[in-house]
Amino acid sequence: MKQLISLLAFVTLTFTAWSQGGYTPVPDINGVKKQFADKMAHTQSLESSFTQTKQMKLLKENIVSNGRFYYKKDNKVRIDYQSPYNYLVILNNGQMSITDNYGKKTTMNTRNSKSLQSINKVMVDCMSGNIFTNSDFRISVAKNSKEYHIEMIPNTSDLKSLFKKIDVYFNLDNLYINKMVITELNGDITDMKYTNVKANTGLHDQLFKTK
Amino acid sequence: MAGCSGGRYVIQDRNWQPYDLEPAAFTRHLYSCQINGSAGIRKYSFSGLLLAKEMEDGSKRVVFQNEIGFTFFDFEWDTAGMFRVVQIQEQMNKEPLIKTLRKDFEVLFRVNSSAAQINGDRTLVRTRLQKGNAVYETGKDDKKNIYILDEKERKVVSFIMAAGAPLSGLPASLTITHHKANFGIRLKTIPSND
Repeated sequence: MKQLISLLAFVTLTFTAWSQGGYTPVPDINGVKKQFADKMAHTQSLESSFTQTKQMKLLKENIVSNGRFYYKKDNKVRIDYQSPYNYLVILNNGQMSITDNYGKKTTMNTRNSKSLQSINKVMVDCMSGNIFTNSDFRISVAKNSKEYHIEMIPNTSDLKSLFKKIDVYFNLDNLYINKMVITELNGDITDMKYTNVKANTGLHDQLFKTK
Repeated sequence: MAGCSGGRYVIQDRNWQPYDLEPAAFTRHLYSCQINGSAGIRKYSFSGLLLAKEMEDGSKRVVFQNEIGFTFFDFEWDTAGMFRVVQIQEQMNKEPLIKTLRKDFEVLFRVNSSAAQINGDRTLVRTRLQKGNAVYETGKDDKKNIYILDEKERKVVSFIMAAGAPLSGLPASLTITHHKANFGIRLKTIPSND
């Protein structure tokens, strides 16, 4: 009897969590994986505008920034914060460069750090739709009438020490990323919305130069 | 940002009188921030956003996070001036660094200030620290800077502000240089999105 109650509670809680936003779990993840794989086979690059909102719960503060986002197959990412501050992150084949608001540029090899490697992989996988094969996370998939919701909970101690989970939302029609939400250990949330997403616009490699 | 001694700070007018130095008045201020330093032979550099905020209960918070949103540190001073580390990233969780940051912010915010004095021509306000003094200077061109002096009145730390920075609030931009240690902080106001 106790086991039945526990099972009912677990199922209820699961459905309650997904039902915020009207999401229902997807039983056939392999089917979703194939959808993404087919789509990404024809996607060489993506670019979009983004709005990032950092919500600091205890401080009751939102910090909003805007910029441009670029991805080029297989592992090139450029995140260009443009307002209200300048900040540029480029990931390219295991190298990461950061140029801060003072113009200072730092380049590092992500292969020297497990955490950096994992973050690099998450960014690239989210853009390329390969997140289903990322073993650093426990992944659940749900959907509503407009989008897929992928919940990613860290599996490794390095990532567990950085954040609680990542939620990624993909447009159901074109499978482009709509939003990424990172929940920190203290409950703060960084929410990145992508708008005006365009594929295969012929991005130049120059955009992703780290040196 | 580093390095040699800041030189001696010569205080000509020593006609000190008691002065009521209020804590810095601010509700919310967002800076882009760069912290550079070294620990032994290892150099470090952090850049991000620094939020200084007075909470509803009167306590003050300073949160430094990177532009993507990860928090480097979160410090709190309650209304009695008690300091607390709310959160700190492992790489920054070193006692000397926390002590340095705490002292710099307490001087800047005028939290836990001892009884202050003002000089005769009202261009300098000083407060006694555990070692030495903090001196709040108003220059001829209305430039307001702060210096931490040692017992021999040599500059240990300089807080150089943008011209016209108000004494009561927080400056629009600021460079903090520790002259004897390879450590510095640069702050530049980020305009509000409102």
